[in-house]
Amino acid sequence: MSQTKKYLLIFILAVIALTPLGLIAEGPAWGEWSAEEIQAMLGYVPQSIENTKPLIAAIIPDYEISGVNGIFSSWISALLGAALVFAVMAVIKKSAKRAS
Amino acid sequence: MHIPDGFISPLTYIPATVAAIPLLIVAFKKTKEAISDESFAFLSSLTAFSFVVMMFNIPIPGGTSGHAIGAAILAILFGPWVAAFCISLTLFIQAFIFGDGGLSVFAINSLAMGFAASFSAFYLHKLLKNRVNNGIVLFLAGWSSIVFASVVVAVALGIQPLLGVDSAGHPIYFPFGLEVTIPAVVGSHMLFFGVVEGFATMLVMRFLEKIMSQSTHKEVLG
Repeated sequence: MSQTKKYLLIFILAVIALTPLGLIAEGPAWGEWSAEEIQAMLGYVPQSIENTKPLIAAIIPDYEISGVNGIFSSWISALLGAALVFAVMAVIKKSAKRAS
Repeated sequence: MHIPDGFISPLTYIPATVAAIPLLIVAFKKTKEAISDESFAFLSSLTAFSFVVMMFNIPIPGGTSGHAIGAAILAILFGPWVAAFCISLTLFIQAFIFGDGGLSVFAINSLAMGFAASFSAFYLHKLLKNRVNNGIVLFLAGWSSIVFASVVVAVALGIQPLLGVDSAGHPIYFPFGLEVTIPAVVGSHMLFFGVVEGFATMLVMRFLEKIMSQSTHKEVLG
């Protein structure tokens, strides 16, 4: 592995290691409230927010694996996300090579 | 800044999807051209960085939180199209696997955090580089990327009360209008998350410049 690649790998692993820090924030992003939070805020829940279900249920909703400690959940989620990015990019690289 | 399912009327997300598809096709083609054995490590690492950096939720006054995107770094290094594709890939994984951002509104999130962020960062950087101190240019590119993204999100959310009201007079979709969403979403990104994105862009670019100069050094030295 070249020196540059090694540094990049250390960089991304270091950032992944720090992801539990993201758990410190308790409030959601502005606007990204749950139906319960909107109910508490307005006294009603807009129909579409109440009734719309996701098209496909998420495998790991909110980066929380049920039964797994929050810190490990965020590590696993971050590693999985990063691995998926590398996998998709590798497929694109392969298809680009084949095309050329 | 990831809009969930149910918050947005089909009158908004269908046109947004129609607009985003050709843009994503172009962005995909440009990414395919840009990807090589040499660029692969950088492209993948920085896209993975974008995925991971969005998990760092930073609390701000008022009980809400937000995060950086990482689009500016990709846009400066690889151009706005490639950056927009990489961020959109991140957003797709977040929506599909982690339920972060709705799949039905994927196009809006992609237009905001992918395209608006990448293009604003790229052109601001192009306009200011070599005219202003490099650190300041990088900060501003990062800052503007997330602020432009927040404008798209604020407008998409803020027009929803106009697009549907039920028999009780309650909005069907996102309940707050532009007079609330613009200050809340754009304001918080100008004051807080833009600053975080600006510093993140500066720091990561500095780090990348350092490792790139070392690697060329090595190659030169054999």
